[in-house]
Amino acid sequence: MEAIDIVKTSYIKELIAKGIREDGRKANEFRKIEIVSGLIKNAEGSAQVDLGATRVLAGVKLNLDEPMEDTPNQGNLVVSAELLPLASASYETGPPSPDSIELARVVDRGIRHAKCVNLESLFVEEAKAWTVYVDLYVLNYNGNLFDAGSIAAMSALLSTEVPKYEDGKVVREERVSKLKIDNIITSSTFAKVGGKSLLDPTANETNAAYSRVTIATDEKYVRAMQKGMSGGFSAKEIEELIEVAFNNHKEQKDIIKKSQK
Amino acid sequence: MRDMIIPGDMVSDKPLRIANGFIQNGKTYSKVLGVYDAAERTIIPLEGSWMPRLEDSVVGIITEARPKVYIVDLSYFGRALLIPGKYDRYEFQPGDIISALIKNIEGKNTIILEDPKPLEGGTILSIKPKKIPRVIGKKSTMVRQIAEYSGTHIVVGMNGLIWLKDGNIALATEALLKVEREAHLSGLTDTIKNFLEKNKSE
Repeated sequence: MEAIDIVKTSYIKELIAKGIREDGRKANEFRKIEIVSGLIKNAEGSAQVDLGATRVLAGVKLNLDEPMEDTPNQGNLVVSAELLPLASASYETGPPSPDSIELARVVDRGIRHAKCVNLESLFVEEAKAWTVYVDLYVLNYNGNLFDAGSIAAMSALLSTEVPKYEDGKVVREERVSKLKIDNIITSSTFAKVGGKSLLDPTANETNAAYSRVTIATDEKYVRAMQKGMSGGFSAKEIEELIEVAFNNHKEQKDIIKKSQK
Repeated sequence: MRDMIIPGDMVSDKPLRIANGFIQNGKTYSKVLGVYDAAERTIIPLEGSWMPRLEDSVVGIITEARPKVYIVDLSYFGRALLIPGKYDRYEFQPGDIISALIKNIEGKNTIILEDPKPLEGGTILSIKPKKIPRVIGKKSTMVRQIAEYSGTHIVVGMNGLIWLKDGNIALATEALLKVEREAHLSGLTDTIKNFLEKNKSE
């Protein structure tokens, strides 16, 4: 951490002790979400999400591959994430960092376990099925990449159109149908600073935190969870946070649906 | 009248010795991307790194405390050192914020500081160093106005770091960032005054 981060960290802790957050939000309040979908014309689906100053761009590409051996009549889903050096002074080029792998895995797990993408519908013919590649690019970092990434991936998938397949060839210029999406998932990330759990932590709040949990929910069930950093949560706290996550899902689902015209 | 200029643009057909400009064949050209103020004959750059000058007041963070020297982070590409004199009685820890004056610049990029004042608590805001003169304003009107309306203690360093404590820090931060964004526009003091008055009541 640089010297300026240490100063900001102690400032955040000072504020939390008074019960205030850096940007004046309540503990269970999200930043403003802005979604622009269908931004990239060459990709089958895309979305750019602004969560406060955090900006994530998601692109979806469909490729015709051989299905996995254990699921011969299903397509596949692959989520990857890249933290661009453009996004933050602490990100560098080179092999994927642990942070970027974690981001991809958390987003992937939510979408996969909520069965958002109908994988059976991706089957084309014997030994041929679509593989859905979701690529997340972090364009600016100000905390909470997990939630911004989930919203971006979900919006991009909803805007995805399947290209035409004819006589063993893919015609990318023509798109025949929308990708079949069965479920919508959103996640809620909490960071614990000074004994308080804060929803949607900013970069400074993440630096000041000692434990972090991400809860991915759909309408009925908790579909995935990820706990980070060294500190812990009590069982009672987790139950409260799950409640917040469900409320949060209702709001975000509407925002995601509204962004699709 | 102010014109946008890019590096190499002719600002005057007479040779003028001005900052951020150069003279060729008896004419003056700009070295930077910025704005040219014909009335005051100054080139105001939009971006750029901070060039330390003697007696500049800066805000920094102690990063390392060694037996006879403190290393200070000024968000500057070179080093900044604070060497306690014989009669200085202060002691700092890494992470402490100070405001100090530049006593000397050694070699190309080592700054020696003097006269440190500890700034306790509060937070730091980082602004583009080239916009700092605008943040201070003529006879420090701008920064005084922001401090008055938000009730915040503000210490501005020429290196681009600003220390804030107490009062409505969110309002002060918002106003300072607005100054940074709109530094090239004229009549800024009034714009900021209106902005502060509008947001103060809320």
